[in-house]
Amino acid sequence: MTQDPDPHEALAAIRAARADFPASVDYPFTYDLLYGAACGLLVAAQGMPRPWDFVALALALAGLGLMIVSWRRKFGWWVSGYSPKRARWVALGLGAVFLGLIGLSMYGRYGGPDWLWLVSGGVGFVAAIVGSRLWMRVWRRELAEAGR
Amino acid sequence: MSTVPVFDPVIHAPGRLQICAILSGVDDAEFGLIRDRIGVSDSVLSKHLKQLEEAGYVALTKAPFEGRQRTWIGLTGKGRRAFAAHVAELQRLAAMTATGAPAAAV
Repeated sequence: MTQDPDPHEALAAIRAARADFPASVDYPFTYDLLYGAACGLLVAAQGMPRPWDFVALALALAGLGLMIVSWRRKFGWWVSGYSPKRARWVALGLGAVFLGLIGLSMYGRYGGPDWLWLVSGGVGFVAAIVGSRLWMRVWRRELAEAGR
Repeated sequence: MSTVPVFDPVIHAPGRLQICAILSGVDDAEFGLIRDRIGVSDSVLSKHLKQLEEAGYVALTKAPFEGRQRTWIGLTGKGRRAFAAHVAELQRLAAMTATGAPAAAV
């Protein structure tokens, strides 16, 4: 490419730079399982009896922190769920699901059946895995469309 | 898209255009990864980053990893807006040349 490329050439350079970064990065299912476990634990902790609620919360937060550190080391880049314009709606939707599940856990703790945290935690685990894969799909499409 | 197309000579240079293209998709990326992606030496990448940093388009942070410092680079809000405006301008110019209309001075 010359120093002063024509717009077609410049747009092609942008597409080339983004061609397989980071959209094609495929991560192992272990990340899904760890993320699901951390989110499920985060949700379930709100309905657990003391002192297990604190233990579960600490484990969930430590797990999420370790995941971020591990991801950055392995791939050399990071993007938060709320940064991309379109994919952030998936993250917001997932956040809303988690809030509802946290409410369910708390209902079990203060009025409902005391095993409810098992249900909310399990649903949180699945929702996190499905949500994160959906987020990744939307984000990849968003990246592919940008600069076209 | 609501972005106003604006040509940006700081971004337009080939290396910096590719750097911005990579960074626009993520929050931040590691120096070595960008260097390998665009295929330049450390010193050339440093020079490009310095120009982008002076324009306020990127922010550099250093973090220790495995006994050495690693540099992470991310586009600032100003940099993201400038890149989006530049891409919009490129798309506008590309559309003009594709339809045979006279191209604006770049």
